[in-house]
Amino acid sequence: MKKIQIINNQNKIYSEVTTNATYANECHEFSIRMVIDGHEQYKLGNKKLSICPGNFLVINEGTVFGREIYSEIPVNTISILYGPQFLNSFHQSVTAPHSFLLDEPFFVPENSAPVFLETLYPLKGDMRYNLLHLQEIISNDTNDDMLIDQYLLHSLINFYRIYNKEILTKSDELKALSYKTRTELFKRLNIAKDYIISNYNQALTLTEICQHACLSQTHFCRTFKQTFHCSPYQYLIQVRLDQAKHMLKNTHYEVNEIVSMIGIDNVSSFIRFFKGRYGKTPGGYRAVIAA
Amino acid sequence: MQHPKPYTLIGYLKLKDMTEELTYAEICVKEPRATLKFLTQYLGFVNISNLHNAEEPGKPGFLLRDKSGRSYFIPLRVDGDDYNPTIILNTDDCLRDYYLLNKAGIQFDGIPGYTNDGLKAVAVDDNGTRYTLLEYRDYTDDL
Repeated sequence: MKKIQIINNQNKIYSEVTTNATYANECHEFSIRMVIDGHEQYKLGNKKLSICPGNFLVINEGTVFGREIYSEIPVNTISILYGPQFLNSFHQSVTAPHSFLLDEPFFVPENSAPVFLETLYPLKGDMRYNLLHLQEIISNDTNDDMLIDQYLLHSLINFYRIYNKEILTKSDELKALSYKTRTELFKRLNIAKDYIISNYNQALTLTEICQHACLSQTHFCRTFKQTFHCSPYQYLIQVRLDQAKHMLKNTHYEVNEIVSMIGIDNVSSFIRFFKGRYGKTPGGYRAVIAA
Repeated sequence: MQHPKPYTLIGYLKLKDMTEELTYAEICVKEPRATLKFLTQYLGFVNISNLHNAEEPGKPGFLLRDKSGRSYFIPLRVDGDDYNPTIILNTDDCLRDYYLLNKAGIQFDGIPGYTNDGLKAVAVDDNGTRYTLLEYRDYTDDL
């Protein structure tokens, strides 16, 4: 099932529930992309990314990409495409000085489209709440453009906050370096982070991740920790536990089935990790959710 | 669009007490009739008993009930400083309710804003009584 909703101001919402779909050479406006359940694979140039619950991807206007869904269970995806005028106007409103906005309230400079790092961002907090509400509104076949616009505007507000926290603040953690070096290093660290998230259910090795990011092991481990405040291994475990938590909450898979799906070797290690992180055993967590 | 879930009123409880289930609460406001109009006309509360207080006979006011069966008493007269500064209404979707109430003609003090407890929007009735629409959000449980 596929649905495209075009709002008056040229913002669009694509939603789809499918087990099998392939789209090649797509090129759109700036977009925010998420899945409610399952995984969706993206290919941006040489980069392969997998969106899973708990993450979202942004793609800039004009980027050519392909995407693919191949799953035993239906994958529920939502993409918001922001019209260039809406995005540029919003960007101007949050970046220009107040005095300028008062003097020139309707001026939007040409070629002012913001360019964001095309990476996986954590879908949590207000962004998650607002997008889930939007999904509910769409699934109820609401055609009230102004109501939908509320969610699109707030999703953009939420994204700018996340961008500030995840990109601008974290790249500043590498402050000892020059701007050019810092930008390149941060880009490579994000390639590694995306690789971990996209392949969390595989038996990943540090060598493989470092090769993917084009960084030496010692350099990678030191700067990864400096930026993300945990080791690559701890980051991988956290991604796996997050996915396990999602499955415990939203599916009926047994604990041992979940363990085999998230790339952890044995159930006892998983229970130990889970309890250490969330203070409850997986069974205990599921019981609390069900209560 | 119909409002899918009924409002409940938290009254003047502090946020930390939000999990407490209320079955009866007293809402003390400067303009009881304006509050009655606001809650019944826009938010779906039902006025079940005019100028009557079953708990304290002789104290006149309005008895309201929300759709989940909870009761609220709005007394007509309140001693000096006992007014609730803000009435808190919980909602499961603040953006939707902000939009629908705004469309129905309710004035808001600014646009919805983010707090540590969730998303809130403050509605103001004709007499200046403020009603905080609060969508409580658990930021510790992300999946």
